[in-house]
Amino acid sequence: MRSIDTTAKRRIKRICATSAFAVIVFLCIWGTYKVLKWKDTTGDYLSSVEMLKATDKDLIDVVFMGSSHAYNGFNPAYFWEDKGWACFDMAVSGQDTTSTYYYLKYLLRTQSPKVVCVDLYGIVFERHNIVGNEYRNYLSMPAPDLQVKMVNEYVEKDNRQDYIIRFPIIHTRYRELKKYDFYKYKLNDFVRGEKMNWGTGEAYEPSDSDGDVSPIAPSDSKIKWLDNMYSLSQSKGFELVFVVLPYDISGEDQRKMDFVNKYCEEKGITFYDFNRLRHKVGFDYSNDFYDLRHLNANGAKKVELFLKDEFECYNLPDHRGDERYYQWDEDLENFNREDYINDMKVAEDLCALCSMIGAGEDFISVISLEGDYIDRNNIYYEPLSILGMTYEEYEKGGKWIFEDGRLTKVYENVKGQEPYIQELGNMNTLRILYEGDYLSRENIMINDESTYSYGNFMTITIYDKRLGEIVSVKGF
Amino acid sequence: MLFNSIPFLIFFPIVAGLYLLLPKKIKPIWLLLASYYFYMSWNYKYVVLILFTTVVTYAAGLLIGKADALSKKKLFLVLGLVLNFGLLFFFKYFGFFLENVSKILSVFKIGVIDNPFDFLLPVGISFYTFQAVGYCIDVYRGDIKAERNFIRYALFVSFFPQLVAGPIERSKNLLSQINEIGEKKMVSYEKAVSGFGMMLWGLFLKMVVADRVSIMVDEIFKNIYRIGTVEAVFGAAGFSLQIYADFAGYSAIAIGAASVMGFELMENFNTPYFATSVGDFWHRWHISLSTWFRDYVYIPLGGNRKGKARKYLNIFVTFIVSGLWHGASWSFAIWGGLHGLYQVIGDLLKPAREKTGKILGLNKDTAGYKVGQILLTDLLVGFAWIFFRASSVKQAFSYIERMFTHFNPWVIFDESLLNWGLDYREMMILLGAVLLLIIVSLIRYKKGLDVGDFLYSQDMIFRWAVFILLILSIIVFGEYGTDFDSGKFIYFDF
Repeated sequence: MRSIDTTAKRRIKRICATSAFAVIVFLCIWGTYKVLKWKDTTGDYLSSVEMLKATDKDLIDVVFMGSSHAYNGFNPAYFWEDKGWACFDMAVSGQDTTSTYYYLKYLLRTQSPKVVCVDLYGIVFERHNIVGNEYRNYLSMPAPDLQVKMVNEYVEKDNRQDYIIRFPIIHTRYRELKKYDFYKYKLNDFVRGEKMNWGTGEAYEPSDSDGDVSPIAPSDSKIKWLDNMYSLSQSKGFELVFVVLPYDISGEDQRKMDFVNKYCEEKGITFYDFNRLRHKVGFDYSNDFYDLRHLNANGAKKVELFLKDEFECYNLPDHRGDERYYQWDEDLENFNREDYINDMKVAEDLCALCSMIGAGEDFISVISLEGDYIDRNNIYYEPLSILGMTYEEYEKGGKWIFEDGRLTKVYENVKGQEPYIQELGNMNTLRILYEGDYLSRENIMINDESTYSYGNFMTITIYDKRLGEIVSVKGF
Repeated sequence: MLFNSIPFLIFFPIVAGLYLLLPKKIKPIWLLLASYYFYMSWNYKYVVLILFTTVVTYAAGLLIGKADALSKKKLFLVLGLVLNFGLLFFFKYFGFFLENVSKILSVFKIGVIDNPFDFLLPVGISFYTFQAVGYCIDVYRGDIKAERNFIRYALFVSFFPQLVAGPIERSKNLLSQINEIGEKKMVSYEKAVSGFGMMLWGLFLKMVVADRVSIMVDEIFKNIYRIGTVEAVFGAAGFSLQIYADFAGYSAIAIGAASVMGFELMENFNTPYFATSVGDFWHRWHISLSTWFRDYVYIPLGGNRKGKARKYLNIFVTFIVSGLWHGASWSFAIWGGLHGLYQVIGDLLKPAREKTGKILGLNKDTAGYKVGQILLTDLLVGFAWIFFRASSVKQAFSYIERMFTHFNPWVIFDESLLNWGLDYREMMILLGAVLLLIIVSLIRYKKGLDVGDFLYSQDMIFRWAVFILLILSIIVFGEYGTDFDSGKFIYFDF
């Protein structure tokens, strides 16, 4: 009897130990997965899925889908500011049509948008040229059932298993691990999926083809996709809107879009081809694009101005003031801040920059003055006086640290003193130094990176506390 | 279905789990079905071959067992051997045979014979043929009784953990265990834990060590025209490591998988690179094959009982045959022949070596002497591996020629060694893994414990930590998946 008890006890103990071991192994593998999992390392760590997951149920009114064209061209912050509509960009670099369909299905599990607006760039390519885009689309889907379906639809048979299990692909990421693989990264400068740029780049107005302009059908799989999108809109009861955002479209691609236009007319789907509508919208090809294929913030504004009038017919509600929509408020605030930062970056006028330093929230700015700056007819004094600096202080020179517009530290130009160290949070450390040599690159350092403008008597370094990164280093 | 594949990761727990739960009468049938499924997952057509071997040797065993007269026994044995070796010859050596006959004929300008058959070598045919033939010889010698139960015998020939790359089991060991299925408690917690540890260690050797070093080795052997002495030495040393980690890794998984289900397969590797002579190496390397050749070839040829000259001839013949067992190519024959030659020369020079040792005052009991012996043995074995790895005899000689004629020591210092497929980070991972391999080998060498038994003898916390370390290392640093064309186990080709 006793030995039976002992045997039974031993057996229970072993079962418990084995179960505990299995749980620990699972947790270790899960932890490893979290570090190694695919992250948008080549796409600015942008993840609309993560942002969607952070959104409460049934808040989104309008969802914009598509590739980088979409997240550069549709700015939810504009719609929120003007109309109070809750728009969301469910867009990633190189989103193909299969991904659009399944990510929309995923979104519909938690949201009930009234309008789904899809950019059609995915119609013109069959397969990804860049494997990173494939990974982005097919390794990010959180719903296992949808992931299996989308992988089976797109990925070649031999590789499907690797995509579904994920480790066979992601394990090699140990070769490229960075800080944000271990620390949670801020999903985006914005929080509703957009990625706004303020720069301008070379862009061309599409030329009207003088050859055959008759519509040509895209591939059968793309037509099937159009049918599926239409069926989904019917079954889920949302308004489907197809859009072609402006880019340097080829003649052949334009003819495919014309085919889709006809298709939409037959089905009663709203369709806006911004390449065709370019004159009506008034795109300025020297100011509204940041490269050949993507709109910048100015261009996105023109798209918003057009669509907000068009979308009036859907009677979308104004949610401004509703606390549940705090992410849209935050998004607008972030957008305005980015706008402010952009102004700082492009500011050529020292007085204007100093005014912004004095007014900016959540910035740490270091102003350095050393070398023979006095010889330059006091050109630096007037701007610094805006920040409350006296002439005596100016004459002594040094490095002044402003935090949220207030002077917090003066580091004088005295040789041999200890460097000044300030923790900036988020693992960044500021170190300033005076060596009596204005040409030293080590006068202002953040971590091991010099943020000193080499060869100038005055350097202004601006660090964004929210982003945890340097936003501007300017020399005067 | 490779051991280092997702299908096996699903297959094995299902098979082992159900095996443990099923009633004892069903257990052998279940394992047999699983083994055939495992074999057919490569090429279902070749199931005919293993069935043929099974039926022929089963019948031969019964007939040998029943026959009264020795001549009849011999007749049935010879029939069994001819049919089985005939099948092996046809699938493995026929093309090689025709190629050589053609070469001879072309000397006399008679013409060339084309091989009308173009088969892929059936996976594991050399292994299960030798295992089944060994059984017939054992019955003939009266070492065991003929097996009457066909299911159990078929399972002996096809037992999936060791079916495609060994260890080549002896009937006395495996068949007797199969006959004990359900009779007594074979499965134990200890065996399961130890077996699991062995499987993890095997996967680590294969996926982290062998497949990683193979990247460098393949690069070197692919670019012989631009290698110098240092790369050639690195290539040979790398292949020595690769083939050991690959094959010992496979054997560890096989032994471990069998152990989880309560079976004890024979040992296949015992720290071969710690051998102090080439003869010693063969007591430690692919033990199941070397003892097979000893028991069924070398000793029947007369072994060392018929004088020195005959002994040397027997060694030489055994090793050349062993070389050809690995592949139908003259480079394998040379590889085997070299090992035979090493042993013959070693034996011939023994008096001279001892005399020299005495003159130099060498003490055989010192660690230094032993290390010297080990290094010399590894050097000889490593040199022979060049023939094994090279795609032809000509390529092997080109490799050796460059090894001795393109002296380039500066590449050790200018980091150009990192241009052969493994960058600094990969090299560090490899070195870390090799360090672990050395530690495990030292434990085996000093304590006589394999990884599984050693880990079972440790505290649970330590054991778990090692298991988890191995699992994570395999998952993260293993060479597998989309980016990597995971090579199959080298010994599958034999």
